[in-house]
Amino acid sequence: MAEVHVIGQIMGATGFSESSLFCKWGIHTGAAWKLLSGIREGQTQVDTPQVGDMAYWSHPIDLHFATKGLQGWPRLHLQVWSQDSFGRCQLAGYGFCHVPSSPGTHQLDCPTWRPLGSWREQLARAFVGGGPQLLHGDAIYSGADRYRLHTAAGGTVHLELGLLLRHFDRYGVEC
Amino acid sequence: MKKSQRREDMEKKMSEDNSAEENIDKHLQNEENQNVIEMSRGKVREKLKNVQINQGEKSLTHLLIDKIYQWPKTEVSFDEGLWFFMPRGDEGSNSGRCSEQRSVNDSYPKHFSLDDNLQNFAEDQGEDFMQEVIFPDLLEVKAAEYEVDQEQIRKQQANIFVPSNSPVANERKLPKDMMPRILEDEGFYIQRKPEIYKKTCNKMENRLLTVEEGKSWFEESGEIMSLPSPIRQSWNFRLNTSKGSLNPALKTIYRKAVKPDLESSMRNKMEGQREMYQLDLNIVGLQFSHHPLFNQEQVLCARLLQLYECFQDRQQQNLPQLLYEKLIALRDATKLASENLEISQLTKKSLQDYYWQISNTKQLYDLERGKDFSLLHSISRTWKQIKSLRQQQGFTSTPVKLQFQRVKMNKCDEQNQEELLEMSETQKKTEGKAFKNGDKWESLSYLASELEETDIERIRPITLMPQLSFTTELTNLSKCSLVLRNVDARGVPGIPWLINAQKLFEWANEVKIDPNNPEYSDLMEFVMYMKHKGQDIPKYFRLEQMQDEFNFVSEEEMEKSKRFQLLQLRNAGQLDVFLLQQMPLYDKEIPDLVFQMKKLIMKRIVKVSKVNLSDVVADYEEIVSASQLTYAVCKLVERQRKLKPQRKERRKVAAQTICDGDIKILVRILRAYNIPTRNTTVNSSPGHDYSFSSLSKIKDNIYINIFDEMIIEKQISGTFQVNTPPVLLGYTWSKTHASPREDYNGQNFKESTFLNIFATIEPQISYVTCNPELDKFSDQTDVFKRAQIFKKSCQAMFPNRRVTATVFNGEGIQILVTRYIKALNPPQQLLDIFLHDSNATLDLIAHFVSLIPVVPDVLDENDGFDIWMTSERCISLAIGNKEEHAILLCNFFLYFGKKALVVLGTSMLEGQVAYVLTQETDEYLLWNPLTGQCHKQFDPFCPLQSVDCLFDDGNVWFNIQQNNTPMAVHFDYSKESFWKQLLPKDFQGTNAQSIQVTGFPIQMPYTDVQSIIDAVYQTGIHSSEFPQIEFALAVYIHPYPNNILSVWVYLASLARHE
Repeated sequence: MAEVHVIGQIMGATGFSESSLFCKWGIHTGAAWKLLSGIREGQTQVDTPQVGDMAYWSHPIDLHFATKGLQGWPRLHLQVWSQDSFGRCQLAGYGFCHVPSSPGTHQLDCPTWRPLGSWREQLARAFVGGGPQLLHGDAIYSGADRYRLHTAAGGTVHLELGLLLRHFDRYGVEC
Repeated sequence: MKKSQRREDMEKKMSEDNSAEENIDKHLQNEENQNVIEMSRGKVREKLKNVQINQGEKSLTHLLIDKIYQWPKTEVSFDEGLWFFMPRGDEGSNSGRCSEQRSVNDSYPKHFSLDDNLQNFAEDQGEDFMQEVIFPDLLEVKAAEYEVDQEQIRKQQANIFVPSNSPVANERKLPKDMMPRILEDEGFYIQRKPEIYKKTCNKMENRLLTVEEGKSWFEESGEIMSLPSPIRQSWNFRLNTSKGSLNPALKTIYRKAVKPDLESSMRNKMEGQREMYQLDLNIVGLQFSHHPLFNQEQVLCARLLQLYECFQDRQQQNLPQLLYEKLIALRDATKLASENLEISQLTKKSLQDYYWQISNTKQLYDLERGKDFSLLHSISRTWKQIKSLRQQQGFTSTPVKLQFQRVKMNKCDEQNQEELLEMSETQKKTEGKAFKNGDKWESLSYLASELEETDIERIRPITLMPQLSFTTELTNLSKCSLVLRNVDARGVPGIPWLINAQKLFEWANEVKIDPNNPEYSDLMEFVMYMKHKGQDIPKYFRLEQMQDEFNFVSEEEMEKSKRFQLLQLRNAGQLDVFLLQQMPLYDKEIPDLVFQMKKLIMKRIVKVSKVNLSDVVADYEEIVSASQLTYAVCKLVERQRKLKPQRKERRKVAAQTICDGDIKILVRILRAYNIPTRNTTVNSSPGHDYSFSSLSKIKDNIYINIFDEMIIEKQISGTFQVNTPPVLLGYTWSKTHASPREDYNGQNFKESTFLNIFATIEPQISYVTCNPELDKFSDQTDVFKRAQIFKKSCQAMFPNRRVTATVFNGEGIQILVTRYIKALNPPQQLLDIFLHDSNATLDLIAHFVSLIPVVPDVLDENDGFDIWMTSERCISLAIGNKEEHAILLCNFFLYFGKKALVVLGTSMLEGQVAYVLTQETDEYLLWNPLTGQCHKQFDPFCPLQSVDCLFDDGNVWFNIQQNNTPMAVHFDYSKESFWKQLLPKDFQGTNAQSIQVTGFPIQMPYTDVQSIIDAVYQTGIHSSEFPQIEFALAVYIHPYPNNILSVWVYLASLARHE
């Protein structure tokens, strides 16, 4: 019955061509994991950078898990969205990274991608906005055969996560 | 377009030239006069426009005009010369360039044909110009090198190989003397290859043939080797059902950029995605358990299969065996315990517990065995039916065959059985001994009798094992009727696989089916599975493989973790009490009490949804019939007429096995007292029919309410007072019947009707009594420790009597019951009604309390944890349980200076109840707070059946008298031989702390605020001298018409007494 605290923040994002960005995030775990407290998913505010090109969200993450096994270590999945001047939202990138497995503070950079779609969709996206989105969001963090998916690179999301592990040594996991 | 533009330019120029001619003088004269220039420009533009409009129609004339302007060079040059030097801004510069060209052109005159366009004209000009300008002696002009196409191709063919795209004969592709072998024709499954143009393919083949080793690229069929899918090493042999190119999980959808609806935020979508799961099922075949086209034999066969499956399931569970083993274990334990029967409290208690468990287990054991037998019986019956049917109809359409095998029982088992018999006898003996020890063993007496009963109808262990096989030969189809042929359930392909896996496997090996054919993919999978079966492939399907193997701990352990539970509760916001406290780091630091209390409070607040028993249990029929059977047998055996019929202890049925409609309530009215008779003198309205007997009229007034809590009562027997309307028109009581008891009872007995009723439930339901595990308190104060010991010792003495020393209050804090008792003044209105009649006031108050709605205790009353609210809360919420009613009534009585105590006991009407006992000068009165009725101690109609426990504000007393019926009990609780008290007389700190509430409502008309404040001050409630006093205040203004207001002020002071 080991425990894991994930405490940190989604700092912000860089490298996106769009300016007003916000981020939906969630943490996916295997069946062995149990959320004791905290909120598993959330959404940041829309940040429009005034200076520089980094959108700062500084969105707090505070989760407390209990686990009976190592499988299904928490995975953080992100969706970066942009809001245009009309207030419409469109997808700017999907991202995924594992929560680090060693205790301490970690600076994470999570690169993102977005589906490219057909040329018509690309054209439509360039002119009227919108864009292709995954029908099933779990493909972001699951290892389904992605080889046929054409994607374009998005920017990078920066995270700062602190980890506290408890009682892993009891079960022979050194950390 | 270019052409016409050029022309336009020309025209522009031309027209400008014209205008220039016209305006030339003006320009020369007024060079500075811009206005004029502007004006003229405007004119020019106008003209230009006109020209443009007419352009289309005048294409020919344009050309002519062109010519005119090209030809007479002198004229033009003159004009241009003038125009050229005119300062005209950008227009001028534009046309200037043209005119420059033209001037050059002029100097080298050339012929123009009519259709020459201007562009050519300009280029030619340039070329000529270059040739003329560059010196011919430095350069030699040569024609570009050029080879004729055919020549070129001929040269290339020497170096470049172009394979022909004509088809290649098979002989060239294959080794000599070999015919192309086409696998598809031979019946193999060949997946479709990617589409290639025939010509491309031919070209490739031709090319390969010219290469050394090129033939190795060809398959036996003569085609080029190729994979069906170029990006996979091997093709999977499952049918590719999803024609869509993309994995469905990766499907994208184009979504328009939309403004998010703030109400239904995007987060919902994410949540929704998390909830979406897909379960893929592969249904290999269908086996009908019933079908409208089944013939009789098939129906029977299906039933037999069902029964057989059920039997096998039961066999696998093997409950009887488990119970049997439990019995043996219990027997051993009992032996051990009875050997050292040095009557210490503890061993006695555990022994008693063992006996109880033995009887219970025995019951269960017999029940399970009975089920097995009835199942076997119905199997054999069905099989007999099938056999006779087959004989009757002359053919067999199902391959079912049932055989019974006799199983030899182990000698050891038999021995055990006998021992078991012995054991129950010895048990009886010990019980007999114990019974002498006192009435605390009384509960065991019926146990013994029951054991006897079960011993008699002991069931021998099952020695017959049915074996089902599908070996019967079917009658040939041709001999069967037509209908049967269509519906032969066993003929459906696919079904036999499931029936005999081993045979199928052998068959598959023999036949050597094409492993690649997707048609057989399921079969192949099955065969593969069979091959690996001996190995470590689990029989079950798991979403996350190898999860269990790597788990640190089991799921249960994780669920059990108290720390995790608390953390989750805190996260859910349900842990209001502990919200701000730090969670203990280790489980051992968390007392169990927290959860039990939590559970109780939750139960109290949330109404537990009741589950129908039939939802839980399905097979109960046998049980009912079994009990009825034994009943019938007993009836035969018993003597026909008895002078004094005895009530028999019936078989008990576990409550779980009973469903709706199974329970009958048997009510027998033994005798009735004081039934009013119809007054014949009263003549009533003619519309009523008075032909019914008077009894049937009275029946309407009998309400027997039975709740589930009443399971505690095995049977109800006693005298009930019939609730009759206060005024019963048309009926009189005959005085002769009432008189003998009237003086004895003292109440308004005359107007009460009594029925002596025996009621019980059929079938008898065994109820579970559990011994609550008393938990150690985390913060054991002296008093609680004492209370716990008190409770334990009381229960050891009289396990059937109620004792409650500590309860939880509304905040979940454990307190002594004595803390609830404090004099409380009743509402003023009640006191005002009978100012001089104190007895009437008491009745009124009791009536008032009885009007407060009762919440039934949803909890198991045996678990030893109660939550009581304080009287103030009870009255403010206008709701309370039985004990809270009693406490409230007691507190009101204390206000009148009465000696009042709360009695905990059992009533034949309501089960566990709390009454209020008041001590009058010469007698004790028992008040039922739920009805407001008052009974004297020796009232034979008092529904209270037992008096178990008493408490007031100072102490708790437990009844240790042999008899606990109210009539036999001595209520003088100061005698320690009759009443065991919780706290010794000189115990300090019993009145540790209590809160005295005093307060009252003020009602007055509204005149102004000051008068109300004055009225509040006049009460003097604020002039209390207690140091830590708190006040409570509430104001209510009731509006009446015409702005007339009624003001209610509720005042209360709370003083903490040390």
